[in-house]
Amino acid sequence: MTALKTLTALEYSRFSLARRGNALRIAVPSALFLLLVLAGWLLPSSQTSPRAPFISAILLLWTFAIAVSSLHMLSFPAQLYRDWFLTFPCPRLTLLQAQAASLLKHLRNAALLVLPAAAAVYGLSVMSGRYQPLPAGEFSLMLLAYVVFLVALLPVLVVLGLMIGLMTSRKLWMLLFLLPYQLLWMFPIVLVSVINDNEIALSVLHSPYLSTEAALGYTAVLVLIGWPVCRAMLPHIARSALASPAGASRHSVWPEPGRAAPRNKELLQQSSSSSRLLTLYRFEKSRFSRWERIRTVRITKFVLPFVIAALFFIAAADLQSVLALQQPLFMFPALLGTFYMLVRSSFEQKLLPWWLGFPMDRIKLLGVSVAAVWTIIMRISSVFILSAAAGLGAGWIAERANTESTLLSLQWLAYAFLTYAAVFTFMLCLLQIVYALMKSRLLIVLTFPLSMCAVMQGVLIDKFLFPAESSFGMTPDWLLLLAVAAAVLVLGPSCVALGARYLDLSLFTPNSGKQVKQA
Amino acid sequence: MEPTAELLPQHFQINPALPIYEQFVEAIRGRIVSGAIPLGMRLPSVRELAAARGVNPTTAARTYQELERTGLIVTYRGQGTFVTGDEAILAEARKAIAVKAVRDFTSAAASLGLTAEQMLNMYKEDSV
Amino acid sequence: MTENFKLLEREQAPLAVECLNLSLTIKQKAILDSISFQIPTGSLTGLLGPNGAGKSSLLRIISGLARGDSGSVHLFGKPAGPERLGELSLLPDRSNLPGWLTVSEWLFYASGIYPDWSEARSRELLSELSVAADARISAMSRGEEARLQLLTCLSRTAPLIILDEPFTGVDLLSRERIAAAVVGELADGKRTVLVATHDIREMELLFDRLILIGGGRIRSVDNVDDLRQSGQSVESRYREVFS
Repeated sequence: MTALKTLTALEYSRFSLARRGNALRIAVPSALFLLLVLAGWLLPSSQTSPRAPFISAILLLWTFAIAVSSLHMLSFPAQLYRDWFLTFPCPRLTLLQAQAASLLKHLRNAALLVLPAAAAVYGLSVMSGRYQPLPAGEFSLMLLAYVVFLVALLPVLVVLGLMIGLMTSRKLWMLLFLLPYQLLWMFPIVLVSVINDNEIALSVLHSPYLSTEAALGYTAVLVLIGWPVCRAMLPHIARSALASPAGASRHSVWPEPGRAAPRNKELLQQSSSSSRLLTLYRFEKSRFSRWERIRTVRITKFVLPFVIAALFFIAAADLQSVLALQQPLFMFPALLGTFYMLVRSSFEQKLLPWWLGFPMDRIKLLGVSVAAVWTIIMRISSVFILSAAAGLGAGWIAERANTESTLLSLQWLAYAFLTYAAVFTFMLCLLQIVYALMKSRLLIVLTFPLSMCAVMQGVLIDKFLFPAESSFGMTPDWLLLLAVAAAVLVLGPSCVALGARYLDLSLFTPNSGKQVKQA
Repeated sequence: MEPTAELLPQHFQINPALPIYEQFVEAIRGRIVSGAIPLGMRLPSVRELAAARGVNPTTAARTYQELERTGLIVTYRGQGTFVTGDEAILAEARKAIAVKAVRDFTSAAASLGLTAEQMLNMYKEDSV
Repeated sequence: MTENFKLLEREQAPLAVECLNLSLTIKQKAILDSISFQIPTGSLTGLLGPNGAGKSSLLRIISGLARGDSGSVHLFGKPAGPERLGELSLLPDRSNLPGWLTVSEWLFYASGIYPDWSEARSRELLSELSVAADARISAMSRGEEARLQLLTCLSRTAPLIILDEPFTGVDLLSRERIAAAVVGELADGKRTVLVATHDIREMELLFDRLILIGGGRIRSVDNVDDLRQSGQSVESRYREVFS
């Protein structure tokens, strides 16, 4: 066996079902097959055209291929086994080729599952009389064209997925790749929703762009242009993504977002009070960096915008769906921030005496810590609204919604974003009253309804700030939002000020008393 | 049957702050002269000695080199290393150890301002 | 000259490792600061120093996994780099073997991956280090996996062996087994071993050279025999340099 073959087999063995016993080896593919047939049967497009199941199968494999290979590359730096893999005495290019080859083998397995499932859907559709079967000659030619196209496409997609290894390097210009990359990600999702839209499906499915001849043409382009380009990219990916960081930390290949480590020079210049405040702010933000370093969080951070954009693209045709999607979209970050505020003291108890000991005005101290949470949550919400808007924009380009309804959707999106921002800001400030409530045993009981109120903010918003029947054509009530915002601006700071006044009481909560005794 | 014995005592304590091969040479020479290691015995290889005692192979090699220089052990190419069977060499080694012991004794006496005879007499008077 | 003393004749052999003014800076912090030293072929060198001294970074650069900012590293007279990985056998620090495989499956792959794999040596080491061939790697204890990692390193015939903290999380008996196995490798005087470790006591009788590194700088390079001639042990030298 050559080194490449062995390495490929080693990489492949990692997710190979054959290694997990015969029962799984048969059970998992069979279950998946049935599921695929069922899903294919239920897809609206399957009712219209004999081509549809096969096109859907190709699009599914498309998404799967790019997702699997990019996730593989994203998770690689965090693998404990990485260093051993890198010590293998062969060119880095061979290591990458082995990874790509093993991914291709897994994708081949997936294709061997998905394509027969598509054939089964086709067969079932013919039997149940959805449409007339294609003539045998035409059918086999079409099948052949699609298979050849897939064979040409999958290697290109795998390399594209692996190219994510280039984007995580520190160079900023790599981010330029992100746009075409995002388009390639989204293309199958866009197409799937197009062919499943009953009104336009038939015209799309029978358009010359999806014909057998076109598939053969695409294949030729992929092989003649795509393959050489991918081949040329491989050495670059190998050099950039398969290099070990010189430092001891296995995470240091990653850029560390939000890491606000002040440089030495900056530390020296921190005599003025505003820069001390800035340092405090950075310190508060640094509390989150430990979560931002978690692999799952980082992958989620990367994947979530694409998912949101895709969801909103699908929903673009219908304002009700947009309205249904946008609430949970902004509720999620708001609740994240609220929960963090609620439980923060319990896992940072040991830090509390130090924190209170900072020679700084208490209002500033508390205000900065609230501001740090606020900015992080707002950053998440902003990314969400931008992704959602991108999805709606793509829907408009794909003519899933006309200009008028797209603008209306965007308006509602902005309204929801601002409403959640205002209410979240208020809740964050309101929660600071908790410190004042610690003043007496009677008042401390109020902590519970206060926390509940903060956790239920989504329900409150839904009840009071969204009209009961936000049907098509209705615009959001901007005046109401303006009133809420004004109230938040007045009440919020006073809540923080009140909390700051009694901040020291937090040192003597029953919880902290226990901790002191233990220490 | 070939005669066998441990080259060094089971729990030989190594002082890491002194040359290890010297400690090995001294201990092995003592054990050969005293008969704890029979004449003509085949010695373990350098690798075996080093692995068994957890020392650098150079240390083991140097130990053998030193012992071979005095003739106490002999290497026959292709057969291995053996304790000498030559009684004359053994007698010589015994003599060398004895001379060294007396030299140590004399210098101990000198450090007390005595001659060796004076110190020996003191011992005799005391033990009577 | 008999085969026993070939070991003592290595002064003429080429240098196994030669670092010259090697520096590495990450985020404005000097991880390595003009490191220069030489390791003769056939020696067993200890690279010792406190935590964060730069040991792991140095070993990664020597083995070609990473690159320094300036300076040079030569292995057997030629520049280091990923293309030299076939000539050295590295045990990386805090790293795992593929946990989804069993020991024998891993050894099968390893024999295909490493061009210098010795099947006979690997079988020998399996019993010497008492590693169970049918165990799943992810289910092994830390000591067992450390022994398997060492087995992987020593089953190769590469002339340079680099072990980065081979004892982390390993019990006393495993340590003794590992130390004995390392000695066994060295006896023909052709292989060179470089060990970074915190465990001075387990290894100090094994070292013939000592490199002390602290704060990214070489603090001393000693011949251990010379230290002992002057009445110092490896441990007392370490205390002297770092206290």
